[in-house]
Amino acid sequence: MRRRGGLWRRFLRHRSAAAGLAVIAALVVVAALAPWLAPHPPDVQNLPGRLAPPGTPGHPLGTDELGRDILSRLLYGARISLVIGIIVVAVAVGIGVPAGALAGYHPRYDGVIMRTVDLMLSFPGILLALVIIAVLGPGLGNAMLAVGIFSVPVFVRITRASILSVRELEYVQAARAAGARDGRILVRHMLPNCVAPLLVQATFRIATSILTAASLSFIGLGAQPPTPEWGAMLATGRVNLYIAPHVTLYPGLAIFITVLAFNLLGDGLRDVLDPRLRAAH
Amino acid sequence: MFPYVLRRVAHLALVAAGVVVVTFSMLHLIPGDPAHVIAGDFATQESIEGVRRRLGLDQPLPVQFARYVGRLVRGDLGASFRSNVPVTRELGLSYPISAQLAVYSLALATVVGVPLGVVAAVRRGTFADLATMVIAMAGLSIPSFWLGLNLILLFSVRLGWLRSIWGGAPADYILPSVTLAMFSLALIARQTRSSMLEVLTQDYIRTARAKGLAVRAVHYRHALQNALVPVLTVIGLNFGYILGGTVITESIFSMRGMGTLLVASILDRDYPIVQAGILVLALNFAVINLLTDLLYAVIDPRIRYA
Repeated sequence: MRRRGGLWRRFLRHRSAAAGLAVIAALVVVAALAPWLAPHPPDVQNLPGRLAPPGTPGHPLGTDELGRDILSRLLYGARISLVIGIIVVAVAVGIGVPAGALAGYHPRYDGVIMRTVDLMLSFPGILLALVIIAVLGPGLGNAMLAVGIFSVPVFVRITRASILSVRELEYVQAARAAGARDGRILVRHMLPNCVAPLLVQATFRIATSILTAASLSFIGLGAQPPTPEWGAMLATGRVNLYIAPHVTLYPGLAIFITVLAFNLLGDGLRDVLDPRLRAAH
Repeated sequence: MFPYVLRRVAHLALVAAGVVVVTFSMLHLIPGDPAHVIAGDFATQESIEGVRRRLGLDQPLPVQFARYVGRLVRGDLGASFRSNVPVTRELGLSYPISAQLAVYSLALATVVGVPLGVVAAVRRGTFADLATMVIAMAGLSIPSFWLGLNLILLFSVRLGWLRSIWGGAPADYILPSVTLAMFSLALIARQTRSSMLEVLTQDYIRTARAKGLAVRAVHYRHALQNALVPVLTVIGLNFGYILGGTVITESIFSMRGMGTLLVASILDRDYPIVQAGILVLALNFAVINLLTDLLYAVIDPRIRYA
């Protein structure tokens, strides 16, 4: 318990990480309270008042090409982006951690699991996500699934490496000698060792996933209009880039700030949780 | 070294085989009846049958796979469903654009990222270090499509220095390359900084300093060379990111590269192009990975491949 208190204090003293966490907390509040905070419903059109500049009475951030209030759409978009980040990482962890644990614990499955991971990693960048969307079809749900599967390999590798590093240690041998079953040894004795690196990676991965999903929406393969997803808002707003740059400015800024916050938090968690790496950074 | 090269080339063949199987499987993994999906929602039974025959989907799977591989080996990637133009011609037009974009971006990311990381490490704790790390953090977090649109606004609309319409001229690659390079540049700068910092604490660096070598010589001759190995890994891995990232960047700048072609073909369900495009990009990536691994041995004499 004392150690945990020390970690928390060390985390708070890490100024950029604490700032990242504060921004994320604010985003969660905004997302939860969107219906009450938003001055307008996100999809009410007002064609005579389209492309109103920021500062227009009633529309602090202006309106888009259909006269919808940009601030309101941004607030609702926070819900979508946070949900995307969490679901994508949940999919990736849900598949990656059991697979990595199995690969690290049972040499019998190691080959087939790691070859599958190698095959997934042989598709550069977001191409694996594109392959999945090409099969399943465009749409926000399929894009989230695609980005989730695309994120599986990193969790397989981290879990497997952690399991391998403790597999032959004495306390694991002791648990085995005491008659504990494989499942119990894995879950109770070995997986807790992976929590720190997994938490760090999951935080970074939320950032990457929000960014990737927004990119897919931007090129038309993710969220479809009129969903107030930030990437999709940018995609529809770019048509009027020259005459109304504010329509693309704010959603992009929102993505940037959100991703930055998760990246800062991830950096801080790594510094605090992993003393070995702290020396180098 | 030779047996290692041989083994890596064999591995390359294995990866290629895996990628071929995946691209072949794409048509068969479509939920429901692929012929129905491709023919469209309002297709008649006849046109669905036509699609099925045209794609050979009425044949047993092993026969289909053998045909697919047989055509690949002959360099026949099929024809686009929509335009009926051979896929090789479509790819021949778009591949050079994507390849140039990728190479320029990676070069830019390396040429700027490595020195930034070195300066940050050597002047650890100073304003230069802080500024570099803030820029790097921003580079990791900024959406490339937003950065690209803002660059267009600034350099094409406001300053009028560069045109925003894609014409394929060398100057047209400047903004896309900067856009695509930013993320990798940030990662490379961070990796260079942290591996330089690690190397600078080693005994042999203190020895080099103690024997009176100029600080500059210590930093650039002794430290940087050893710090470069992990940096090279990051650069190699980033080539994958950049190859995938061309898809987004080309869309921002309306470039007619493979990314634009791929996205349009995915939306059109033009599977021959999707399959071939993914195959080509994945094979490029595999070759680059092989070259990166071989480069290690050249840079780092400690690495001996048996």
